[in-house]
Amino acid sequence: MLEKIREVNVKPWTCEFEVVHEDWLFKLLHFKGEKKHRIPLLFVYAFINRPYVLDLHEDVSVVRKLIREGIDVWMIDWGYPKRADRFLKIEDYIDYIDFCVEKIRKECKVNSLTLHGYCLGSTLATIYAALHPEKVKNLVIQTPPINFDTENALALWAKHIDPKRITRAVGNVSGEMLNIAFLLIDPIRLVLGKYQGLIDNLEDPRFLKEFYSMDFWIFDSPAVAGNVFDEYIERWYHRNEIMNGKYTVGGKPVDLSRITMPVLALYAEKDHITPPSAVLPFLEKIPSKDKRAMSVDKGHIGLTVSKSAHAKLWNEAIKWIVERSD
Amino acid sequence: MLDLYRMLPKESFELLFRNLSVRDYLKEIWSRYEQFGVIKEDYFEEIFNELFRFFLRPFELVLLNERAIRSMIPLNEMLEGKGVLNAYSELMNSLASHGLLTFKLLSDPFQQKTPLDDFIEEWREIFRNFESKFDITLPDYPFLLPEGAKNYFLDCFLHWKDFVESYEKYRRLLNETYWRAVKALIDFAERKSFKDFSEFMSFFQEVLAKEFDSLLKSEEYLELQGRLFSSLFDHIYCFRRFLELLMDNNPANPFATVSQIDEAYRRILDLRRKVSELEKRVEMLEVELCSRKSER
Repeated sequence: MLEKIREVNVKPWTCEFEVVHEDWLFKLLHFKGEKKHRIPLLFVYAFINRPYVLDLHEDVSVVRKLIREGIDVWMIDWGYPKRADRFLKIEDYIDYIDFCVEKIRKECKVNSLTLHGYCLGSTLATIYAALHPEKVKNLVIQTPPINFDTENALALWAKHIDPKRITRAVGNVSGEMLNIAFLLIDPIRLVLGKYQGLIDNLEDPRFLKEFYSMDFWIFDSPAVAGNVFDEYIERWYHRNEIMNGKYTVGGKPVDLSRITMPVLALYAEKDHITPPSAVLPFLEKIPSKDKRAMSVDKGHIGLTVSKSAHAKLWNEAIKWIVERSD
Repeated sequence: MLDLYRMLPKESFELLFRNLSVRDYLKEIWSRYEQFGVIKEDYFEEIFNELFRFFLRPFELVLLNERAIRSMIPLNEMLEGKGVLNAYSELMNSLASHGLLTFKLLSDPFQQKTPLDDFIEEWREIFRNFESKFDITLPDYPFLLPEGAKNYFLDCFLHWKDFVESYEKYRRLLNETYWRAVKALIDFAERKSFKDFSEFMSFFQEVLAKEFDSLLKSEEYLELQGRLFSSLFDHIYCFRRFLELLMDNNPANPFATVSQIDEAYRRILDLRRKVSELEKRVEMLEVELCSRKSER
């Protein structure tokens, strides 16, 4: 009965890329492809999970779609933090985004680029865009948590834990701990429903390939550096500092009123991690005259990897990006 | 099987196999339902254990930690050992008196000191030495701990107690929620019938999801989960700090503690930030110098 699982061959990253810079833990990737548009795009991935969900397999690769449209695609990979990285700060992540933006600006001879954030990478991209609006031509935020004052289980849990008591005991918050937490948020659908669905499809090679592409990604979880976890939970979830205008990076205020560039928000109606209420108040708040929201009737990950999202939302989203890339 | 264990992420492997067991139990429940038209409570506790083992195991692993602590600092065992020693000592004393009297009667009753007296006296001395060392060590134990360690040691047990209580409540809360859904399934089956196994499965998942969606956002759950995590991580922290202070206090200890290494990591990262800032400034100065030169 389980024979077919053994035949599954999961290989993430379907597009070719080069690691153009490596700084201890962080890496800057540059995808190969024919460039038809002047403005490059930099993916700012989240510091939870791995960035290859954007290039999981040929049928649902956001990166491939962008390259096909002639966009010059770059991506930041935040790596796997170890104990030695426990004292990294969110500020270090913002500094590395700036380093990458500068490098791409020089290499592509442009003043600004499209910054595309994924999940918590959207939060980082938004902070960066508010700090350096002149370097961001377009801001794309995908399943973005920016307003943390929401009522979904993850947000309620985050508001009821003391992150410092966790990190002083264990240093970094390990991938295993995060895996358990993310499954426990919705245990019946993610532990029972999903795997009972797998049992019903054990003879279907296509189903198995898609299922395990996802499962390998879901459980490939880097740890979150201790300091970053403290800041993420305390300043973002407990105090909602970004939306309240209190957040600072290296002493500089993150002022959302500086977000005047075109903004595209991609969100999922059934997202239990970053519900629509995590982004819509942000869109209302920013002064950008060219802002748009696109949604799909899926969950947090379904927006990126479902075929229906690729058939509709992604075509429109990429059109939006292409139209603003010359 | 071994190939799958090697190939799949461990979580994937475990959840697949637990769900295969769940499927077997549900099939058994379904076949009885088809036969007798009712759903009984049999097998549902087993399903709960399969589903929640993944989440509860980490806590239960920590519960094992208590045994490690007790084996390293066996206060109870030391006290119990003293009782055994006292009983043994009394037995030896009565044996010695009995032997001495018998020996005196059989040898020369007027002799002041026999070879057995020497033998017994020698062993009494050895025993007294051992007993007295033991007596000194045991009450002195709390004073042997380095400053700071004593409080971490006491706090470690306080948090432990809180953790065990919270964990028991937590497990009970999950189990009660699960059983509310099972009861809803059983009630439904008494009133209406399921047309096939798939409908029965979907209904079961639906009632479970409804109960758990509401539980996981409830104030009771949030408060309990917060206390469970705080007590668990405080316990781990206090235990680690206690061990670290014991190590720090031992001049023969050749190892650096995690806290010391963390401090080194923190300093290295601070220095990296300073170097990076200096590099940026040097680069800016170079650009400025170049532009000045070109202006000339």
